[in-house]
Amino acid sequence: MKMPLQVDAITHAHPKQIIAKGEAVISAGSSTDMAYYLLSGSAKSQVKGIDGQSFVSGHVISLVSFLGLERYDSDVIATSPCEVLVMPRLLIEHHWSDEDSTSWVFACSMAADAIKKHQALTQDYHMVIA
Amino acid sequence: MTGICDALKMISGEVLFREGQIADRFYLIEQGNVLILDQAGQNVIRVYETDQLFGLPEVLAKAVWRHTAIVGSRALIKAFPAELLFQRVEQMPLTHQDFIQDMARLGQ
Repeated sequence: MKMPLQVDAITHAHPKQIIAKGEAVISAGSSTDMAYYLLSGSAKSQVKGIDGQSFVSGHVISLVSFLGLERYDSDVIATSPCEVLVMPRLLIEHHWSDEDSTSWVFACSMAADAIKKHQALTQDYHMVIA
Repeated sequence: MTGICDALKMISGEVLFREGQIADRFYLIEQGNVLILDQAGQNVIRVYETDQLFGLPEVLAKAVWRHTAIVGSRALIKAFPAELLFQRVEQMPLTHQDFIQDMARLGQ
């Protein structure tokens, strides 16, 4: 999924990482204080060794987790050599909110909600009404 | 946005909405929590807590609630009308409108 922002306009001052095929782009449990924008290459998320979502050039990696969680919930592994731009959350929030502040709030809320619904499908119910 | 909402003061066990009702409002929990029940009404499948906004995907899709929601503990909840959401999304730049619709589909 792509962000609704002109990333090119806000990226020139931020560091790029070159990541070899097979190396981790994101590790599960790392903070979502940073977003990882894939400039080139491809990557795939992995949960408990099982392949998940694929990411290609132009994607913010694990965008829904970035928006909705405090920590990334899955590893993301480069499936080809990747060039990744690392951007602080506050920078993205600032630019996003400059374009439309409600959009940022709605996007974060809906991402958190989508994750919550997905977790409910994949985990046991955690409470029983007495 | 808070000027055109209903402020609901609710107690534990009160029903916020029932399965099958039209999702014509979305909610911000200012205090307390809301429990989403399974279709048998016996198990909690999700919990929304203070400062969480929920119901946006269902309202955007003009859907009905798939589950019943009850208040888990004494709560203050702001209920916003669907029209407000549609108006606000229409005012967004097109790329943001598309993104919000994509997110809504993901949350359905």
